[in-house]
Amino acid sequence: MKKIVLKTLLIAAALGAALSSCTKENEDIIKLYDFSIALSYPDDISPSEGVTITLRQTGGEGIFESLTNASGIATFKIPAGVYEAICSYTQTSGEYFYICNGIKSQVVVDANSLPKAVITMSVSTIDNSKSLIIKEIYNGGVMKDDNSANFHFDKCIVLYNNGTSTLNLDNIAIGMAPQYNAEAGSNSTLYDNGGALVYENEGFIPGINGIWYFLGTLTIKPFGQVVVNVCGAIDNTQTVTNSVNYANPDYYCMYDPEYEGAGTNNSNKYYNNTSYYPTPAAVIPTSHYLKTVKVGQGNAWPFSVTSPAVFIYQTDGVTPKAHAEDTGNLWYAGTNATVSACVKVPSEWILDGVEVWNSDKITSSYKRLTAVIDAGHVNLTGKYGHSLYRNVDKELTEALPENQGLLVYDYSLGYDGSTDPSGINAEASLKNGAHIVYKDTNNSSNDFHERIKCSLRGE
Amino acid sequence: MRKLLASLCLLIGAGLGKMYGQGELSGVISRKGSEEKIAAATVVLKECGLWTVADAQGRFTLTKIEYGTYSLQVQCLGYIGRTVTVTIGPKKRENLAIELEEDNLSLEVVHVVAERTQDASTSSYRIDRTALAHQQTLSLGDISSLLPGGKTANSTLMDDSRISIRGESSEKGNASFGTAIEIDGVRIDNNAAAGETAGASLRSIGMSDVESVEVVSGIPSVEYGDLSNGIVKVNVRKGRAPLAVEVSLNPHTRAVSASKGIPTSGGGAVNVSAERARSFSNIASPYTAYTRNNINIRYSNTFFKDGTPLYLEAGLGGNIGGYSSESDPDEVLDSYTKTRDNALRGNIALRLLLNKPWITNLSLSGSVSLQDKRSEVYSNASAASTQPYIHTMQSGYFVAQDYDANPQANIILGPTGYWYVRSYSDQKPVSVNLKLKGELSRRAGAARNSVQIGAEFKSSGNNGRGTYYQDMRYAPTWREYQYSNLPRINNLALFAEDDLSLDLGRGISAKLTAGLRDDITFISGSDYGTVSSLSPRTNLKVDFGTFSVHAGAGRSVKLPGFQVLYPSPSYTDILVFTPGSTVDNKSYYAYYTHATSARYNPNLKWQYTDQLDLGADADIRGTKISLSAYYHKTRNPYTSVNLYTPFTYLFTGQSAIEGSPILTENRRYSIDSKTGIVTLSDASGANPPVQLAANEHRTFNDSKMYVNGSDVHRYGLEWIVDFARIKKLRTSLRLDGNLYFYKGVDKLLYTYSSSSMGSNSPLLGHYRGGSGLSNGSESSKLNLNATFTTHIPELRLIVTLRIEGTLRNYKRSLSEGTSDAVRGIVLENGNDYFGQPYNKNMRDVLVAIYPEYYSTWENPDELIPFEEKFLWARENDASLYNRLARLVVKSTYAYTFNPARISEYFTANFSVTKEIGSHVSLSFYANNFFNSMRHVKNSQTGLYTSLFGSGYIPSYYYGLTLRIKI
Repeated sequence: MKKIVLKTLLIAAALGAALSSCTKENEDIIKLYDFSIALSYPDDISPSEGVTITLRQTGGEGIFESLTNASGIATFKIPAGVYEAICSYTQTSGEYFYICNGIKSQVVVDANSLPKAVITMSVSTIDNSKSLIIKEIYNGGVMKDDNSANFHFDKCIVLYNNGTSTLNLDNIAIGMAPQYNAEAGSNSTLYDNGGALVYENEGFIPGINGIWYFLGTLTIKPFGQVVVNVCGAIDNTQTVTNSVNYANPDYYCMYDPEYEGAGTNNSNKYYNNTSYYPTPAAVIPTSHYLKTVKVGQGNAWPFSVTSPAVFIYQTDGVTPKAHAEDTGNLWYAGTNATVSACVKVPSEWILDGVEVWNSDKITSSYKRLTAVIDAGHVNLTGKYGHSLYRNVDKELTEALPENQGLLVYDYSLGYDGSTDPSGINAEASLKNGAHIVYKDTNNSSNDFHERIKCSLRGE
Repeated sequence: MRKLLASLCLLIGAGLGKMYGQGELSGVISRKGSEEKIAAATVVLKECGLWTVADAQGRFTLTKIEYGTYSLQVQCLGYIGRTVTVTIGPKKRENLAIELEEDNLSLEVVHVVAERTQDASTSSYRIDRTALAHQQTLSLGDISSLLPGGKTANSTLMDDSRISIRGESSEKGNASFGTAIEIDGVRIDNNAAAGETAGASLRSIGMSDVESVEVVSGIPSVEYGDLSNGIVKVNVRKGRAPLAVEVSLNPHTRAVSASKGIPTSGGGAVNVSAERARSFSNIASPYTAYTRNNINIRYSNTFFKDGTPLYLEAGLGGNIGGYSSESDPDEVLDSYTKTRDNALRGNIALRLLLNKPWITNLSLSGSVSLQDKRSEVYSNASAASTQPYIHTMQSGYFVAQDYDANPQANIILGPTGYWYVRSYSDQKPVSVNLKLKGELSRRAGAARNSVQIGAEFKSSGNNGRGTYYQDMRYAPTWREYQYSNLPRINNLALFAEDDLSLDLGRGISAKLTAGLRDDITFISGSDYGTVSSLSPRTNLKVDFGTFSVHAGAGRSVKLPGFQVLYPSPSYTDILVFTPGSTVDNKSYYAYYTHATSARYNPNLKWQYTDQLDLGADADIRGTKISLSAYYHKTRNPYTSVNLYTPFTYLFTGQSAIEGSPILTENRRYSIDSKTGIVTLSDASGANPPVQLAANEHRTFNDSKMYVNGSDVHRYGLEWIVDFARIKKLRTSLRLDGNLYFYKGVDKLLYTYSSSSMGSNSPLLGHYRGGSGLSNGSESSKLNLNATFTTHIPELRLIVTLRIEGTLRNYKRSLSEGTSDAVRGIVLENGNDYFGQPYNKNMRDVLVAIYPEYYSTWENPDELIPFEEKFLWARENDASLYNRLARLVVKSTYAYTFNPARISEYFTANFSVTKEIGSHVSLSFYANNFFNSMRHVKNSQTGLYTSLFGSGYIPSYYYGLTLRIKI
């Protein structure tokens, strides 16, 4: 016991001596300077209070942090030296998500320099109100194992939450604009003499043949996705090796053979073509079945193998079903009224749309979506398992602090010169746990590229 | 009916009591310009029906000829037929020398176009061998182009289009089905063919054996029945003939043929012909092709030439060939399609010259036709999921089963993966025909009367197995229906016709033909039992020497096809159970099947066509003019309507199974065939069976009933003007053409079921003339052809330039309601549902079609006037308005009902035939040799389209034929 007491006293004495000698030396050798750093924002952005600014001593080990005040200024008491000032933070305001980054090098602190510096901040914005986007479209099919023909009963659309908030969306529906194929000559009838789409000034986009809507509320986590199988919600790879396996309880599928829609007989009143619509894999819950309102004739929703113009929308004040079943919302896009019946979808309801053209028929293709929805088009070489994949917004994605060290580069899955200019391999990065922000400029010429395989195949 | 026939016989017999003195005629037939006698030439005294055949020395004798003046017709294969006038009196007419000219291009007059049949008292055209050769006709269907106003089509056997006389295939009334074809007395029909109601396919019939073709477009003799649009009679070669070899080429066809008429020891001849032709659609890859291999053998002889001559003809021939893509390297993997077009036809004909006071000639003929039209499809197949292969033939609910568990299940599950399916569609139409006919020709004062009375029995059936599969494991949704189990169509016809010729003096003569035919049709097992129909026909021709007129009226009955009298069952399958797919992509679907046959309609009348035919022929200073006008009214055309019965079925989805404690792999399903309730059982026995919850759906079951549609009208004008030959130029000009009008509007009330569109309460719409935008159409055509023919006998050369003009090509869709109800409503814009009534004078309007009535699922028999209720619902019942609006059919384009007139267009064709000596000849043709690229305007849309590839004119095409006679 005596030994313990003795040791404690010795340690306390030594510590006290050490501490007292140190304080005395600093006061003699290190002089501290008051220094302030201000953050400069783009015009429409207000300074943020409580943001951490870090000063890292160049060539030294000193790191100093201070929080900004209401004016966006942080003050420091630091030794003389050359510093690098860094500020990086994210912030939510209303529907918007801001990513703010700034860095200023060669900040000199000494008796002769100004006691302040300014960091010019770059601010990136994510609009959470428009964050439900089409991430990928796989519609062109793939060659069968015996190379006899193209297998195309395995289409899908992948929706994605491109924002930082969880989406809880009601009344979400999917449609496609006429005509079924961009290269169809009958598309010319969609244009007036002035060369404008006849529905452009009327403020709607027609959804041909029928629409599909989600049951209840669609919930997607930030940077999460929803796979919507268009047809063939089974494990297609058992027969067609290079196809897609949809037997996944997380997946959604378009399947509603019970709905009696327009048509003349039992062969064309229902979406009940069992080749196109085998009953979905039993593992897919029926709550994940999208329901339809079928306004046109035929036994399957004819999602083009070559060149669809697909869009997603959210109705306002009415359910997609009630809206589509209202005769007053019908519109016709061809010679045969029943075959070409469309649902008029107000443009302001449309959340995203993508115009796909057939690579072999570019010169004879027509735009079907207005510039507000999609100002461009993305080309597809069908039959070979290719998909249309949204490009990564490199700046935003790299700006997300949580992505540090998680992004995978050297993307090589583009086809024939069409590739993601960001160079980021989005799917590989997602597997690493990164959050991907995709490009969304409402111009699929910039926002999409042709991918040599559907991402659901695991690459 | 029997009384009517008896009365006619009495009437005819009244003028035949008196007998006149009888004389004798003999003569010898030789080749012109030589001493060579022509054996086996046929000699006929046209007015009295007496005939004989020249012996080996060219001699002939006719006895017991009533005194008078006759036309003596002499014909022999290879020679130009000749008619001479002979007068028979008390003094025996002996050693009449008749010379025949060889049929070749050294003759002064050669016909290379269709000629009006001069002695016919109705509109009729004849096309002889020279014209067929010059035109290089490949198929019988090509002869249409040689008729007045006919248009040339590029000849290929890949085209299986059928002949339609005075009508087009796209019109109501089915003109090709009503056009009869006879080859040497053997009727080629399509009555027993399953799956189509069209005229007979002609591409399997070789042309190398054809001597001439007669097309009767006017009122045919009552001897011919089962037609409504005229008859095409083909005469084949009979008699001695040298060996003739023919080789033909065109871009899509290669053909070679040989024929010979071999004399027999008894003075008869055996004609043998063989032909092979092969057409393909793709010049670059000539593997998928239609092949024709024809062989025909025909024996003909006349026995007892000096007494009671008996003419015997027996023929046997047929074809082996068809369509095949088996060797085509462009087919997917090993897939192919082969369709046989094999035929065996035999016929025998006896003609006995009795020359008795009560009968002149007795003819008996019979024919048998067997066809094999089996098609085989061998196709690559694959599926990622099991597909329901529905084979049930009864009504009820059925669930799919694994093939290995129950190969006989009502629904089997197809495989997944890759495999081949070999399927057959077997059709073997059989037709037997027997005809007995007696003729009596007698003079009655200044009149000469011929009577023919006969009976014809015809039996048609199909010995085919229908569609079947080599391996039932791979048989997709299909129902066995063996044609061979079906009864035969039997038809007995009795006919009598009187042909009265009057010499009115001053070179004027008249000929009146009147006849009646009764067709009695019976099919065992048909609800319609034995049906009978009368066809009266008459023709009158008055001949003023160089000018003649003719008029005819008649009725032609096209008997109801097999599909009407003995309808095949039809099946409607409704998906009612959709369990989730298993891990190996199996889904045990269930279906409700509604099996039905067309309902019996006690009020069904037989379709017939009333025909009126007027014509005139004149010869004005060597210019021959022939004019024919006609009017056809097809009454009671067959059509079908749907009858609807309210029906409720149960639908069970995956949601009813979800959450079941039974493991997916242990789930077994059964369904009550009556109630549709699905029971889920546990194969492991761990859980008790459970009945699954289902949704109730309202719909209609439909069945078909054959009814009579609205009348169809056709009328037109045909003309031929053969200008006198310009001797210095050795050129003649023919102008031929036709003007044709058609109108068919269906005013029958047709019912269609609308979709419930989420309401689970479907409606029925009752539309006047159907739920299409138009319920009929009208069309007209004016065709004018100019044919310049330069014939240089010295060079044995004939050159033809034919300019084919279409001066009018008009068609318009019609929408006509009744005086009580509106059918079409003109809309201001496409979103409207209301507007002003549509009428035909409007142009460029959007039109909506209203049903005349609607009825509800609850009370389908109550017809509620649509327009009134629709207007009311707009203001008072949004839900009903929404449902009624679904029954409105709209046009999208304002031009839908605009008249579609194509501006004039022309094409020019060129043909040349050159004989090199007596043994070789060469023909060449070029169709559309200017390769016209002109544009024509369509008044419906105002758009211009190029003639190139338009179908209005043939594309540039050419062909060559080499003939060698040895």
